[in-house]
Amino acid sequence: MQLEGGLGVTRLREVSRDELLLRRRAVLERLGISYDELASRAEKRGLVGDEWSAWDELQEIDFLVGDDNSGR
Amino acid sequence: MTTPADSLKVQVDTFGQEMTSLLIGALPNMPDPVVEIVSHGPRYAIRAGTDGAGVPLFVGGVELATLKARVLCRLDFAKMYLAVESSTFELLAKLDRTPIIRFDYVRDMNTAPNAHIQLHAHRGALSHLLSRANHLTPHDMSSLHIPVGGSRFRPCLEDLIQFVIQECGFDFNVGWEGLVEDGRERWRRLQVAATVRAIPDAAAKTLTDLGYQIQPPTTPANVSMKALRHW
Repeated sequence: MQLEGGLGVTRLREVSRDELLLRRRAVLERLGISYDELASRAEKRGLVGDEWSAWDELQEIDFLVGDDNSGR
Repeated sequence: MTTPADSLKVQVDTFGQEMTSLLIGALPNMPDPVVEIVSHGPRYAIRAGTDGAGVPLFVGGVELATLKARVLCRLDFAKMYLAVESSTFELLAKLDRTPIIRFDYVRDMNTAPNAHIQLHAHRGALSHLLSRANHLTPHDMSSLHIPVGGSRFRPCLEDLIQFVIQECGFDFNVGWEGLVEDGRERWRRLQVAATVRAIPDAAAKTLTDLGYQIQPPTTPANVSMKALRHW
């Protein structure tokens, strides 16, 4: 559901599991790195530059897909 | 009858609107939408800016930095209240993409304090100390997780807004202080309520000392040792 309106309106949208997994692939392709390699860098506290925002985005995707009981 | 999922959606929407009002009210030239909420099933991601890109910060009308805010949330264990799984508030300069300072919260973090600040800076004396202590990354100050009060007493987004305006000198909207204080009060009241739920014996004792008459339940609620002892 997207609320139409001007500045001050919060946009809300539901995403599917497929959309989230596509987003994950796009993030990793943009960085040219595997998920495991990025996770390893994060664990070793060795993220640099764009890897910080990429890791945040991947963590968000991981969280959102973590409970997929909706079957979507 | 309102289901837990419906209740969570309302709480998330309220949270999003409050974040929207705060950012628009305190900071100039906000993007549209200023806050996005993305959901999948019963889980929500609330983030500032389009696709989590954050919002711009200006000095004298010149865009110099970005403020990012991202909150991941779902229902708590009681299936009643919005629970934050993790949150990240960060300040980034436009010069490069590495954060300058990050305020992080991870509810079930075990390898570092669950509420912490990471600062990206350089200090030779610190590098020397960490090297002597055989730290794995002695030259990376951001590898240190500075504790800031645990789950219940951690900073809120309003604290970072005040920090970037008052401490760093970024442009602001007139009246920002009242908005920030209103939001901080809402946050602290929520955290006090959550703390009382987690540590009811201390709350009951304090209220009794203040003169309140407290009637304990037949089966006293458990005290959360995690709330008391977790880093």
